[in-house]
Amino acid sequence: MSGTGTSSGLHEAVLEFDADEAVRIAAQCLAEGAAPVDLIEDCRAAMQVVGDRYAEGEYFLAELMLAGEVLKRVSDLLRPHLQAAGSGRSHGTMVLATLRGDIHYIGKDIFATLLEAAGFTVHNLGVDVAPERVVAAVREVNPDFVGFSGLLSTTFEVMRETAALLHDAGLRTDLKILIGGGVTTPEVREYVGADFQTRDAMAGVAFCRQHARAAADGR
Amino acid sequence: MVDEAMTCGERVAAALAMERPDRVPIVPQFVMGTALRLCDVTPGRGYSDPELAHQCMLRVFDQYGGWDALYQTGPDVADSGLAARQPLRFLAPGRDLPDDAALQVHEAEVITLADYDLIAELGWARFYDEVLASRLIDGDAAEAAARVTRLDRLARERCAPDWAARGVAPMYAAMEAHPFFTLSLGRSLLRFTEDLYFRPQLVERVLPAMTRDLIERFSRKVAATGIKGVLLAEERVSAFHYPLRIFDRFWAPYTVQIVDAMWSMGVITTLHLDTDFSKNLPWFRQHLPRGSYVLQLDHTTDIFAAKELLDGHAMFHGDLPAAMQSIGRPEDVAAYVKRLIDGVGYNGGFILGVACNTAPDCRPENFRAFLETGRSYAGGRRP
Repeated sequence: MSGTGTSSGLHEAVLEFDADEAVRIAAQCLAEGAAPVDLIEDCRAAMQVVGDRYAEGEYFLAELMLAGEVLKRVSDLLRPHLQAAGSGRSHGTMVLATLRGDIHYIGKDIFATLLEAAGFTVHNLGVDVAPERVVAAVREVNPDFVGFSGLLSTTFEVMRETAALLHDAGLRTDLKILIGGGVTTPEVREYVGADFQTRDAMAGVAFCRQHARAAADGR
Repeated sequence: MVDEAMTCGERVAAALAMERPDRVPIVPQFVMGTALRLCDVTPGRGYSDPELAHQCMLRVFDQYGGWDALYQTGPDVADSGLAARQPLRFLAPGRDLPDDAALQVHEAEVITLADYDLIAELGWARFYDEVLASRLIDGDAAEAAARVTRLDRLARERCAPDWAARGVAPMYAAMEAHPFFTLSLGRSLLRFTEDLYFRPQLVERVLPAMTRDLIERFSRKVAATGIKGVLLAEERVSAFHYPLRIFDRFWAPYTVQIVDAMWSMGVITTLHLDTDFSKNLPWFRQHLPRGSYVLQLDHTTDIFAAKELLDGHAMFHGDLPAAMQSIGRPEDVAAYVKRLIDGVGYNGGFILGVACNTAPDCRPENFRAFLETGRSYAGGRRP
């Protein structure tokens, strides 16, 4: 049975990490008139199961990546249809970057995929991104979150510089800054002036979810 | 304070014999990026001039009071990756990156699915030299090979005597990535994960050949240098990345082969383990000979808990974190070094080091605090 009952087999294909099968089913459902938003919600429900299994210690980063890859491929198929239909509810928006002087991308991209799977909109600026470009992106899309990923200690200064630029530009008030990567610690979070630090991508997703829920409750 | 009664070599040897030396041996993986920064030389200049980089490393050693052993004698310039047959593109400051940038590695899918057959047929070294190297080198391959040769000559003819004059020697006859890690880097993390889950037979076709190759290379280097230590690096197999069944199937048996082969020659294998191996630690006591290996941890694994679990079975090397080096205070560094010496080194078998390698932006006062505390703190009391 499908997770939401809209697309028989899609939910299972995500849980089996079978990207080809998931794309085939999604294409077939589309052809048969299924709403793209229902298909993506079906995938997200499956990702929630994967996330729960990860939280319980049954799954590891490997399974998060494999399921995320399935979702990415299905999303690529559905994106034009979602845009055409003007649908696709977002829980919040994130501007994400690996900053100047660092070209590591794997952790950042895993986090981006997982966050999108959780229903957030992610503007992934890439690697070796200048602080000024982050500020410009924040001005442009007015996100709820900014995320800095880094695998080199030399990026701590750039993270701090970027956070200061956001503050000086008056963009920091309602903005949550997250930092992540193997070398980050709570001390680095404090040094940078960020709101959250993690080495665990799913913990970052949980933070965004929690904040989005709190923001929604406050409205 | 400590009354030093041992040479650097004796001190390291005692720790590797799971004994307690006169003081804790100090062996940071001191990379030239750190040396250049501490000498106010731009990375671009240093990476284009290995001789200058070597002089910077010596200058820091002399000015900061030195340490007890080296990872390697030559500077770790970008071409070191080619010399070590790593399936990565190395981006050098001043050549591929701005002059003041840190050395970077760019991981991409440079090994294809079809390459598994070739690796099984040729072995890793021949596959790398005959097939892969040309995919990694931008520009003139002959010139890249010549740079590697010049680097090797510099390490042997200039660097080794300079270090020997200071009473320090390399700990390792050879340093290589584990075959599992090599494949993960070359295929890229996601593709290799797909291989492990959906095409495991391909991975298992090449791991035995790669392991045999690696043991041969290690053995040759040990014979040539007389150094009774090798370093095996792994950053991708812990329970941070994979369930234990992946570790048990694709990493453990090959690691046993490597460690056993080295141990049969009296060689100790240092397992350079980045990411959190906490859940994997019980395996080491169950499957590796006591005293045959050092766990070199990067601070994401709790080294104090690891010591509790493997006390009397493994030696330890670590683990001042990068963040503490780059943004911490000297008093934080000193306190943590003392905690390491007391908590991990109280009964010997411990080498004081840093997590992975020295941070390129390590503050001078923090590097000094690390070395001076290590040299002066007698400690060694179990907390």
